[in-house]
Amino acid sequence: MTLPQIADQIIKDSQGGVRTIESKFSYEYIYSLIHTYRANIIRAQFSKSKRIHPTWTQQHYPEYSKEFQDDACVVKFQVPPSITMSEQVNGYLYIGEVAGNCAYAQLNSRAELSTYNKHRATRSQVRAIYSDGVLEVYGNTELDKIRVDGVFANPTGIPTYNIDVDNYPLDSESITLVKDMILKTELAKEAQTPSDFKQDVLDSTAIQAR
Amino acid sequence: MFGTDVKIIFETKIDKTYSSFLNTVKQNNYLSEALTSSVLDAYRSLQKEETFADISNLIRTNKVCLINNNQIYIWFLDITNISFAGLTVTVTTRLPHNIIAGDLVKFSDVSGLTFTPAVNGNFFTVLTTPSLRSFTFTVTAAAGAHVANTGKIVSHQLSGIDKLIPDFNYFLNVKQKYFQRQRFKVKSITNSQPIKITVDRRSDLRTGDYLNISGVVGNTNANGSFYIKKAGAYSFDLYYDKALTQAASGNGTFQGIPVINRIVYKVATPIFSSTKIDSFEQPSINNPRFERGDGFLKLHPLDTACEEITVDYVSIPPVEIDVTNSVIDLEDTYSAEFLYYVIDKAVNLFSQSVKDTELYQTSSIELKNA
Repeated sequence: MTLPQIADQIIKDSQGGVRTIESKFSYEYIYSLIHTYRANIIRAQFSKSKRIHPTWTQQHYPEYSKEFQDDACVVKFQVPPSITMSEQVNGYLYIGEVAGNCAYAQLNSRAELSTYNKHRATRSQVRAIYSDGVLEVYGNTELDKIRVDGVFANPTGIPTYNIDVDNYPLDSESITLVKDMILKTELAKEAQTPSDFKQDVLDSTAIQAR
Repeated sequence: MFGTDVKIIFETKIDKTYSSFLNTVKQNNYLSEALTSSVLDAYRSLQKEETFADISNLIRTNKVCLINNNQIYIWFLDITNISFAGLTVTVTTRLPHNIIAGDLVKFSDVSGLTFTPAVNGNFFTVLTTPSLRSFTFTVTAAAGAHVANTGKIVSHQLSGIDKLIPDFNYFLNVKQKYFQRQRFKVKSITNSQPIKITVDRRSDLRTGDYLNISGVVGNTNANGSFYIKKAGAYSFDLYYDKALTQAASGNGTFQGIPVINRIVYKVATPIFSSTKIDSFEQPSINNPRFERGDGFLKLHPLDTACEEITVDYVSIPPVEIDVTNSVIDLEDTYSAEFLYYVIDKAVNLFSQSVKDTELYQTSSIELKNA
């Protein structure tokens, strides 16, 4: 099921089975809710099963940009953030060569990176650390193509993701759960509240105003 | 049902004492107002098939229009002045004309000028647009002096496709077409059937996507609009049809720097001034929005050129009710039920103006039961 299809179902369910161009809920708003609840559900399911469902993951091929490089001993790529699965596990399952058969060591802190850089046994290993939207790869300065498989926080932010065609990266049981949670916790109240379009500093939806 | 029949029904519904007061001109005025207001009533209740049938001849669907500057006029464009120097005519409009050189325009109700071809009813090709409110075209003969503030542009088009909707009344739906520039570079375009294009990076293109390709030299058959079938992570084949049965054939060796755009054609939703602050309401090619203002239908996002729209709307009534007319069959345009509703509405309007409470209540009940 694609993201627009999930959003349409949610909007239709909240509005008596009809979606029109005058719907009070915009796609972008519903998409953001879906992404948020997807992250919550994935985190909860991971903490229970310690397993990452294959449908949650996406492949990302970051673009190499010469202008983005500012240090001779590291290659930097811009990578969208992942869902943090737990205290110890981030959402990047594989960082490595494009073929998908050679992973780089993933480091979780600058302290760990420092240790790797100093130790003669690990100094030559290709290793990666993600920080502030940037993936830094050490150990191979010739690198210009990498692959990152991960559970990304915003699946639509992956350049190869086609929002109209690709299935939303979530298993079908969890999609049902996402829809239920959004409808019950977010939209039930909003769907029943009239929209206040007037720019009059008054809440025209309040009972006494109606 | 003819206009004369409407007159009989209308007069049957009102008190005889009004007959000398209510002449045909007044009747036509009441019916004109009632018709406008009845179309609005019908538009507001457009939910079921039955309600669409009432004004089905007024509903225009899937009308394709070309777009200049991400906006399209949904009304006639009034002319304030027309002057000429030699055979070059300069037209000044009351509002910004939104016309570009090469467009065709047609005028109506222009007084005082004798052009060859005639100024009213013929298409003229726009030569230049010196300002937002003026444009020029040429004629083969020109004489006379324009009567100021007469005339309007009733048609504005290019290659037979409208760029103005003169009979727009109420909005139903609009789809907006944009070109989404692809960031990859083309590495090869094969001289084969189907034409296979290989690019330098992965993309979100999928089988069934519709592309517009330009700038191909040599293998020029690769220029145009095509449906694609993915052939690999970096390549796709070109087809003319959506079912991917008619493969495009190459006709030469690829050269040039092609530009590839994905054609995104999606239904737009309205955006209102008061909600523009909302970050979730921001328009994009994948989430197009429209708004109405300055006589235009404005198509968002404004920073990306909208190529075309497909619009559904309720048109202004093409036929007015004339109670003296016994030639035009009104049921060719309106359903009988709708005409009865219009008559009841006219009676209701009349009862309000003459402050006839009893007639007002009776006609209101009839309208409610309609």
